[in-house]
Amino acid sequence: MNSITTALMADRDFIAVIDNDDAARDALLFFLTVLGRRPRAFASSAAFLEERVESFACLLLDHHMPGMTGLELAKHLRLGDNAVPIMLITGALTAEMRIRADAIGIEEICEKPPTPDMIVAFVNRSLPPVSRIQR
Amino acid sequence: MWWPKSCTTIKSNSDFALSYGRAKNDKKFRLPAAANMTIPHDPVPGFAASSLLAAVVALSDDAIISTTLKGIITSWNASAERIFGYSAPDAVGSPITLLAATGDEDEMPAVLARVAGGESVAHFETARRHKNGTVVPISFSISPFHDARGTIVGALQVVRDMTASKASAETLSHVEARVLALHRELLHAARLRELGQICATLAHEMNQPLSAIASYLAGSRQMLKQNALGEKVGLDDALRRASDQVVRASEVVRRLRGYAKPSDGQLQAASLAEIIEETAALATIDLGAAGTTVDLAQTCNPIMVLVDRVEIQQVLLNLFRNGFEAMAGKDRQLLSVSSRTTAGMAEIRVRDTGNGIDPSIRDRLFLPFATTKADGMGIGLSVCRKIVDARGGKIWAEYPADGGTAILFTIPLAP
Repeated sequence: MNSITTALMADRDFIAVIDNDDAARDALLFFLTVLGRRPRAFASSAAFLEERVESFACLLLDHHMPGMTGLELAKHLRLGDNAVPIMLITGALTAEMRIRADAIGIEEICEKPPTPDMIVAFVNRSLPPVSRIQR
Repeated sequence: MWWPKSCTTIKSNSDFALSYGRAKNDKKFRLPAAANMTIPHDPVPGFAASSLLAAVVALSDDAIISTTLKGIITSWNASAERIFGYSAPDAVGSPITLLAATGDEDEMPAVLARVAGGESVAHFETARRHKNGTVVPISFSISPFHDARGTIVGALQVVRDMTASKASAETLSHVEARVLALHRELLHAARLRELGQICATLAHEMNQPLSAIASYLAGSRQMLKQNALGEKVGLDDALRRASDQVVRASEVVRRLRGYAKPSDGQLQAASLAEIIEETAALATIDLGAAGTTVDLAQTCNPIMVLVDRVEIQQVLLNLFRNGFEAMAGKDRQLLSVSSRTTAGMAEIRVRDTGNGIDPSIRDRLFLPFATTKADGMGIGLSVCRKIVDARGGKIWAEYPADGGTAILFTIPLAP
């Protein structure tokens, strides 16, 4: 399935997983791959910004990272008029975080660990269903 | 008349330090044959045995007191007089409850009731009242004694004055133990306070592995659902990685539990490198997004120390956290830890690249309430010094020429 999917997927179909925690990143990569998606992993905001942001359909973005935090990266993208859907994942979801996320224009904010259903729902909102891409 | 006939009558002889008085209802007293003891009879019946007994009684540092089963004092030796203040004429004929400490009036009748039944009591710790009203801590043993027909006719008690041993026990080991216990409680409280401070971010530390586990499991279920077991990323592999994350989460819990539990004060030989590494892991939990590097390369040696593990962790955690705070917001944030042996001790050095210590408080750095932190109590380093001092070590600060602060301390090596 994956090989077919990969061959037929458009350039914009990558999902960025940005998290400095090796295990959390690897696990999300595994899950998304099994779902038939094309995830790409980045250990920092800086590493992600070296890529062509336009090639990503959505971002699963950890907030707590050394260097540029998730919230800062989101703000940077929005200031650059990039509207790529973002799911911001944070260890402690405070009211303040929520307000800031709303102000920046982040689509989804959730507390770590996000449930698989939340991830699936977010990804499916950002990308067409896998089965349709395959055909 | 309840003294055995086989015993000689005691005369008022100054050779006998044992003093006798008269019970109200009797004319003569004879020494009890023995209190549950067998004393060989002499050709002159009883005489040698009784003079031997009298000598023992006279020489004893303990009070030796005989009473009737009703508690009327029938004999009273010199030590009894010394311990309780009553002379023999005062005491003999009086009830033993004369000596009862307030509230303990029923104790001796209860003991005598048991003695009347043939029981003995050994090393019973209690208190008695001196003639002058002071309370005397004592330990006594009591046994019945019999007449020639084997009938229990009285009680013999040997009373030891415990004032000296009680006092020394209290001033030394007891008080010391209490101080030590208090010291440990304070350290424990300080540790809990530190845990409280990093509590919010502990959630984050736990959530990382939980997050990964959730994703691995969700992916694995998805694979089963799709019957895609032959995929490149194998189910087995995913589950193994999930297991690794369970181990990681339980490690966090183990470290925390180890740090939060009260210390038993036991010293044990332990690997210094291991303690440092564990503590660094605990200390960096709440670093969050800060770009701090901790360099433990110079601690990778086989030094074994003799420590109360959690105490040394507490010292290290304090030093690490001080270092992190000192470096907050700086471009270069490097905490280097090194260890070596010197002069028969293990020396640990924790160096940060922060702003250094304000010269105005360097002199009293290790005293309580010396702080430059707006929200600090200045307790951390004074606690560190208490711990290190108590183990015979030293703690001091150095100020490297190229900036920052180094705190060094020594602790005993394992034998």
